[in-house]
Amino acid sequence: MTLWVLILGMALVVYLNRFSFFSRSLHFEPGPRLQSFLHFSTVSVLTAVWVPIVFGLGTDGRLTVNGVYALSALCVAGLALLRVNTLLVVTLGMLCFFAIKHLVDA
Amino acid sequence: MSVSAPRPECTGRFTAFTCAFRDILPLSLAVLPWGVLCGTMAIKAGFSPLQAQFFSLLVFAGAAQLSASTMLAGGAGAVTVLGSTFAITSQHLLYSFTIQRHVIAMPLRWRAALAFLLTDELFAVTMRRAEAEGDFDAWHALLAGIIFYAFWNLATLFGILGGQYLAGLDHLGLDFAIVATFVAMTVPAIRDRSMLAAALCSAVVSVASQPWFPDLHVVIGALSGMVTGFALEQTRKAA
Repeated sequence: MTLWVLILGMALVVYLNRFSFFSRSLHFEPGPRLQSFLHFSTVSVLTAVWVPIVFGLGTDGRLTVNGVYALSALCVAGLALLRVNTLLVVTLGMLCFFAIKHLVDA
Repeated sequence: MSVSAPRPECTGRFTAFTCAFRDILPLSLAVLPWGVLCGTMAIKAGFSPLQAQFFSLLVFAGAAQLSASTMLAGGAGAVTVLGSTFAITSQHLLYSFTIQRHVIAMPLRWRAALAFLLTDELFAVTMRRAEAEGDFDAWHALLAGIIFYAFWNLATLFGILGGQYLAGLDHLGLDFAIVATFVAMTVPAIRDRSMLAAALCSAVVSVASQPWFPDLHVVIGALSGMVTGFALEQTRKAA
């Protein structure tokens, strides 16, 4: 019973985070300055999600790097510079990743 | 405002579906191991199979679900779990803030549905398409969101039914697909020095703040990146 309440509570908290600015009561017209600020959000958010998967920092200040991930990410970045479509870049990137992982594990 | 017709290159519902499917597919595959893990972990934390499935059906937020299951298994109380859920999913505030101007004129049912489907992955795919097409494509976002939701819940179902047979799934490195997709999306978007500065700052700050703010490092990193990029751009404009 309590778990059901918790599930509903979590659903509500997550939904409020997602819906908040879609609600008309929080509506505002972003000026050109705010728009140019928001223009940086996609790149900033995506970077903040993926970089900590590859690099970590211990509380002792020591940087840890997942070598296989870092090398494969470099391959993907190189492929992405070729400006081919994203699905192809990701597919080739995953092949690079499994090849590198195989070489390291062997 | 009514919702505009599908784009020329995506005419007809079927083609719009194919476009959305193509765009969300890499991320849908990348999320499968996490969906399975979510199902397994929920069962381990004491959820019934039905509760575990509804966990994914209603909450639909991987990082928050995994951390809640771990915390519950460790004996945490409901208030702590809810607080951490809020912190972990607070980056969605940034997403809805960014997308707001595209959806605010739409009917409530559209805004309500898109908000429900608004994950990291959908935000990435939608903004990428908005940039490529020059405008927000609501049908594309809706379809991509529904496809991703289906993948997530099927993965959870597999985790609930057969999680014990799939041990080590999280060590296969399938989460690299998330890294690959996000790198593939960021690199072409970095076209000038201020965008590069935003990315670098976001990278450094998210990694540096993670040990101290494990629930908030994405938001802290992203906001730092946005402020840096914006400040640099304003300075260059003023110069």
